[in-house]
Amino acid sequence: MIESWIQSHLFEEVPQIMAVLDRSYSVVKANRGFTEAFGDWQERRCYDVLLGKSARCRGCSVAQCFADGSSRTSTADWKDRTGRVGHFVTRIVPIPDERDGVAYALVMATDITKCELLEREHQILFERVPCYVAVLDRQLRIVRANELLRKTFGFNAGRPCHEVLKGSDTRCADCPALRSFEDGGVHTAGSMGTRENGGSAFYVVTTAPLSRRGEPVEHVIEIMHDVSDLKELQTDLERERQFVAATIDQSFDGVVATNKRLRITVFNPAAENLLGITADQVLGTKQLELVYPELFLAVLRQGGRSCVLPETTIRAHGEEIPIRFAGVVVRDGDEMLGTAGFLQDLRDLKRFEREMLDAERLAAVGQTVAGLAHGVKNILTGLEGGLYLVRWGLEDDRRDKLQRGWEMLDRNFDRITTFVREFLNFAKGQVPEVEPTEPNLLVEEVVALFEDAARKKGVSISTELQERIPAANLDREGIHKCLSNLVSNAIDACLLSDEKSCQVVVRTRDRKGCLEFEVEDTGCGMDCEIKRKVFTSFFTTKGTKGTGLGLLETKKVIQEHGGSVDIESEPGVGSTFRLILPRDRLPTATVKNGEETAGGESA
Amino acid sequence: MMGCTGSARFEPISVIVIDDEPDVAAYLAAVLERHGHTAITASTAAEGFDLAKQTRPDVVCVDIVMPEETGTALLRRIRADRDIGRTPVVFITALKREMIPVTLDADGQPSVEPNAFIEKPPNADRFVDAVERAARQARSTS
Repeated sequence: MIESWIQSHLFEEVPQIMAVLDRSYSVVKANRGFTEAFGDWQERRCYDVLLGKSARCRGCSVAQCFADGSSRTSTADWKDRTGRVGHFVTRIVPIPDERDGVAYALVMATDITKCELLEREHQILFERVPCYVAVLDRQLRIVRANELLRKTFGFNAGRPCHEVLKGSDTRCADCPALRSFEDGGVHTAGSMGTRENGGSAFYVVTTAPLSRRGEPVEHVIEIMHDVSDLKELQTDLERERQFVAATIDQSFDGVVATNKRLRITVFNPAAENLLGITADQVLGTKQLELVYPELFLAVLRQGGRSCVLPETTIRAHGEEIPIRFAGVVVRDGDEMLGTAGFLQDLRDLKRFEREMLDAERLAAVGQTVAGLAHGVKNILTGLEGGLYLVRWGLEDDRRDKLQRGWEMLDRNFDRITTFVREFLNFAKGQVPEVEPTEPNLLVEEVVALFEDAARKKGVSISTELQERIPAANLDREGIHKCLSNLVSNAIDACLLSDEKSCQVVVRTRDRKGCLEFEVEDTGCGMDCEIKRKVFTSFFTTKGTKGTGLGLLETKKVIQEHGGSVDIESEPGVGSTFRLILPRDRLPTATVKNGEETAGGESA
Repeated sequence: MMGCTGSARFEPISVIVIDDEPDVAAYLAAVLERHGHTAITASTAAEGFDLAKQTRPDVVCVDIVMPEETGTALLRRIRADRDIGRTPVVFITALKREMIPVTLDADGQPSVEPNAFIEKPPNADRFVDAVERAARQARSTS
């Protein structure tokens, strides 16, 4: 049964090309594989069918088979029916006749074109892939290695992997190749080797068994991806990070940052000191209200990009601490990456400013001592005059002299009392108690006080107030007194003028971050000498009517508000006194009913 | 000129006292009056200058720090005047003498020396002495 099936079917069914040639090289029989590959063959010579040639090939294997009667194996390139040239492995077997000659030759062939192609692809891949590739045996000896590995590490076939890659006699702990040998699985690990040139190479190694599933693993392929550049970048990045971290740590200013989910990721020691909370308490949390001023939180909510607050406050240690703040929302296009805030503690600066103010005030007091002596000497002379007249009156029994002397004594005692009181007031020096005050209302109050009296003296007072000036932190009483001093001076200057009708104008202005009060008169004006002296001594042009302290006091109050006084004056034309108060230097309002009032204007 | 007796050891002289402090002017005038001299007062330099031109006094006593015109400015004006240019001028001031060139001649004008300089508060006798000496010197040089 089997014999007969083989006889009748084998020739047709084998997965090979088969043909029988007679001694004239004509194809006398061929199987289905042959016909499918080369097409029609009846009554054609083999060289015609297989190569499209008209003559037999030089060194023809079939001819040799006919000649010596032996079988042989060789290779050949044949052209198929479509014209494609394929590579074949051939086996030629003689078919004998009755007289021990060779009547026919059986040609069997296998097309190995595809296998060859695959092998070449594999070879190229193995050699050219930008990784180190090696095949290891069970002793971890390198059987084959690709070009990159050979070049980078130097290579003698048969040396163990750890010796070639690391110059080490011992196997690596946790060797992935060993695990692949043991469990037939794929494994990955990171490792560091030494190049032939002595440099370090960092690579990620993947090992895979070279065997069919279930069979013992004889070889493992090891593919190593060099990540040295990446590692170098990582190292650089880490150094950079450490540098930034050290800078932030050592910064005198508080530095706070969050990630895009607004969790706090940076909180440096300066911030800990300033805000009185530890990094542990806030890192990883979303307690932004503890670390950012409310204005920056508003910027964040509104999708803003940055916020600079030259002077603001933040609550810490149970009090409002003055700080300068810069906050930024880091964005890449529309994507928010995080936030950062820089908090500068202004307490020392504020203290310094206060000390400066004290120093200025003391300097003003110092300058005033000469003026004080002058004023006191005049009063003393008056007292002495009084005594002289009283003595004269008593000695010569002159009632008129006695009377005049007594009046003189009386008057000058009054003067020196007032003088000493005002000087003590001036020298006392105090931090002004400020509260949010409407500048325009204050001016209106002062002008109302003087209006009637001025009109009776023929002087008209008017106001030119800029509209909607925001309230500012002012010592209400102090500024009221300053304005009263200036308005009273202006009226006096008008009375001293030769002009019949004089005007006093009081103005308010809010520009370039400064609040300004201005009192202008068309009175007598001042020459250089008087201008120079108005603030530096107990100088008065009003004879016995003034103590000479009014303007000095004005200057003091304005200085305590961090401001300055400006004078423009021309004899016979008039004077302008300007109180200039930079809003960002105004004192912070005292906290009332737990409600905070902001300091100056913040941007 | 000789033969003066009594409290007025010196022939009576006429003096203009200029001070913006009326009490000071009144005091100095009273001192001079009690020593037998005549004195009139003025509260500004301008008023004093006019009086001096009209009455040709023997001596002008003037304060330095006064509103409008100062004593030093008045002194310059008197020295420059043809009629009263040789009238002795005595400064009566609360300023220290060394402060004067600095405080009042800062405008670059040459400092003009007064005939006498009395600091406030003045001693009455010394004041009369200085005024009388100034008058005597002026008479002896004329």
